[in-house]
Amino acid sequence: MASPDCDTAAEAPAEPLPVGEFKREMAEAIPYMRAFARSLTGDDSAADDLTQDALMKAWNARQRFRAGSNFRAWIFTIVRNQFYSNCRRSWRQVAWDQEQADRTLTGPSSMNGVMELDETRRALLELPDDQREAIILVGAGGFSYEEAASICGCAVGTVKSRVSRARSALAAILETGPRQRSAGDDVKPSQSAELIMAEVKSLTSGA
Amino acid sequence: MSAMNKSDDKPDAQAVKSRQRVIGARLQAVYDDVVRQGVPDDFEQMLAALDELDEQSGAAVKNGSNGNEG
Repeated sequence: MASPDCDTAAEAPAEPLPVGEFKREMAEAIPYMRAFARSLTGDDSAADDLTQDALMKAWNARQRFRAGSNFRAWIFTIVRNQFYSNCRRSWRQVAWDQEQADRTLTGPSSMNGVMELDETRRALLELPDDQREAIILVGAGGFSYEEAASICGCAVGTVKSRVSRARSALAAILETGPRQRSAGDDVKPSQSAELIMAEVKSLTSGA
Repeated sequence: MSAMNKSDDKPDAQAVKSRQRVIGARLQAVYDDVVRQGVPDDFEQMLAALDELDEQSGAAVKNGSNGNEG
């Protein structure tokens, strides 16, 4: 499999960024890398470990980054590859077993943004990896389908269909409530749907 | 089976679209929640440590031919 490169301008051997600039790009990318890593691992500390690993990888590979290409897409590719090359399953289990369970138990006392965030995070974790990364990149990370395809090393059409499937799946999950809220929760599926509808209203009236 | 409101007679497609907007907003919120945390201290320290690494090995890297990368 060829490495996903940034197709354009393959001709001139573009120069690497000066070290200072490279580092500035890295620093600027860190918050976004953490957000992406968080969605991949589902866990704060695992996400930070992943981000740090990726930063080191990026640093060591800095000669290969060509000035003028998309730094964030480049470094997200590293985050993603690092995620898949490490044992992601163990990360995922940490996420499920501890944090998620705790949150579910101490759970939804107020139906405000915190709970919605939480619910959305859990719903995200129910998606298959490929769909989750696609919808995060395109739906939240601000990447184009093309950029997401480059990051994920797949065809643009594949990203599109993954995003589309992820959207449907998330809608279904959020409407019935994520899997974990079943025992003794005070939010029932129908209420979940109502919450969503309430948000719909506030959104449509706001913007 | 559309169990959503029947009170307003919007077509399902529209309801789906609206829900997708909500989901999009939620996803963005999840993502932004982390982005907003900025760069934690340990990352700042890591970046600073890279400076030192750089000073130590700067000359070697400058040649542009460190071909030891896998």
